[in-house]
Amino acid sequence: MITAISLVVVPLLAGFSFLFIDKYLAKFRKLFILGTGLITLLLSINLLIQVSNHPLIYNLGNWKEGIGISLIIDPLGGILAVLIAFISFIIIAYSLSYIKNHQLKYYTLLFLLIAGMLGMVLTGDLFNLYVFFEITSIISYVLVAFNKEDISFEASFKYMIIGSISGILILLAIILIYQSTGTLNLAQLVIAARNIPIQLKKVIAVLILIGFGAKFAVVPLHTWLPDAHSTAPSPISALLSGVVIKVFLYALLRVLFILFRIEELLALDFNNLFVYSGVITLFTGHLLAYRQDKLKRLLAYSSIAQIGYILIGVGLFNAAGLEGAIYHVINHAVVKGVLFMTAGIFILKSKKKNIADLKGIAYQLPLSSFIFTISALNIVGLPPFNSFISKWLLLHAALKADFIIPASSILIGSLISLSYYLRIITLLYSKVKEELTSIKVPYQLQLAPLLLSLFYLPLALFPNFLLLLIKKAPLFLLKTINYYNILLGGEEWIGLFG
Amino acid sequence: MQFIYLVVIILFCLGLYTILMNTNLIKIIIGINIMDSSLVLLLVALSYKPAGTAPIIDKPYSVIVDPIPQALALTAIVIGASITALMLLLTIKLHRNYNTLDISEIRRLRG
Repeated sequence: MITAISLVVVPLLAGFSFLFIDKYLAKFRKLFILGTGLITLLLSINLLIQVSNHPLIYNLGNWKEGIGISLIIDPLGGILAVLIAFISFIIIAYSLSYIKNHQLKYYTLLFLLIAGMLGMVLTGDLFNLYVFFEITSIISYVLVAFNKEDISFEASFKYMIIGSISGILILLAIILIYQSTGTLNLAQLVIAARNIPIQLKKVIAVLILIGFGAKFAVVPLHTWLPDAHSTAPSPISALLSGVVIKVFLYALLRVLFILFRIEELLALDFNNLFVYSGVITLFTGHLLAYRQDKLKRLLAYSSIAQIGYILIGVGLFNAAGLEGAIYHVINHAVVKGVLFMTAGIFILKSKKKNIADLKGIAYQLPLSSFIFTISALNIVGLPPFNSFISKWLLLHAALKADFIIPASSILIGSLISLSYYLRIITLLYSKVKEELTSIKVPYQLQLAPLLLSLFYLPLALFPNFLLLLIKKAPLFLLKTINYYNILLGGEEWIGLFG
Repeated sequence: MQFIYLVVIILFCLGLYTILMNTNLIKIIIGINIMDSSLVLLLVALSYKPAGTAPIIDKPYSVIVDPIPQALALTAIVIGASITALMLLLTIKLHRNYNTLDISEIRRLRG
């Protein structure tokens, strides 16, 4: 029970006590940073083990259910919590050797970002969700501007205008929900939302679709993402692209499925809306990525395209699609994390941001280039890798639900991505005239991406282990009456087709 | 009583209009603030009851106002204030780097 709240409290406390540690116990600074990351990771794994059998509810301050604020953790929340804690831990390890200036500000903000994201996936209260949403957003704005270059200020401001308007829309939606139901507890809303008039429900749905959609960069609300993710420091880009946008997607799904039953969503044609906006997002992301000449900008556009894949899977509104989508969320977080970290090594060591200038860099930075190549082939979805499995699951689910165009666009999109990633790979390994000496990279810098890329192996070879866990997620996301039953503490869960 | 909702709608639209129609950074920030304030007004208006008091258990009362919207209003004000502070800071930095406040001239990121 206590692990749920300590998952939010530990990074929050660490963020603020780092001010003290940095001033008086500077010797233990590295130990403190790594230790906090590790403790958060262990706590989240512990939580996942607990909730994989039985979802749990934690009432803050021991108030009775429904009066106070509660945390409600179901298997999907647990999986995402582990993902957030794991990627954050790797990012922290990478940052230790990457970030040299303003470490105090950086780690304080990073821990607060982790706390905000964990809060978003664990909370069982709508307004609490909004507060964590804003914490995550505000800290993302600051971290995007962390490089203190003119373009990073510009990107941060752009992100902020779109982000704060989306925050206002979410707040309006929450006010409307509270006014018509009288509760903000997500589990109670499952029952209470049935009384909301359908017209008002549609208004709320539009507000949360635009509000959260702007945050996870569904086209046409994506314009801030390539700027923000490409100008942020590389570890932050990896975190933003890998985890933060997925957390906003989770928030949208959670609220949407609680407000509407699946039958209502299908009657309102929301599945077509999701799937085809996914297709548009996918093609826009891939085609714009094809035209980029800056490496990190290309990776950012590729992230938009991956959101498209996930939206297609989610939009099917069935268990198979969601399983594929969740597996793709995990794969993309891992792979994009590695790609941004290796891109960060390229940029840090060669001081070149353009793809064309990276010619022959594989002879200077052999290990990083090798990891980058493997990851690029992975994210394209070539068969031996883990992204292939999730894309296959998505494709299979889309075909089964008779969405032929989205299914084929998954394949065509992968082909486009193969073309632009191959262009980079051939450039990396092409020979140049002048003699290139290998650049020394500190092993700490390369350890983090190497460690993360080792996880391709279990993800690709033993997908069933993880899929067994993921299979429990739609039970609580789609059949929200089960989510309501967590509140009552029942043992029996209604099956998806029962 | 209906009048207040009209004010909220006008303020919300005015804020959105200000954001969309202006190219000055400061005016965009003002627009976002107006939108935020309209929602705070809505929250307060929703929980308002004539002659209502705060729900404190050990005091005698007959009509109480709903405390939750007011708690939400406080949180919304805090978040709005922190976003405004951050935006103004970025505006100062942008003005130093680009020497203008016109957003159509601050465009080094493209594509």
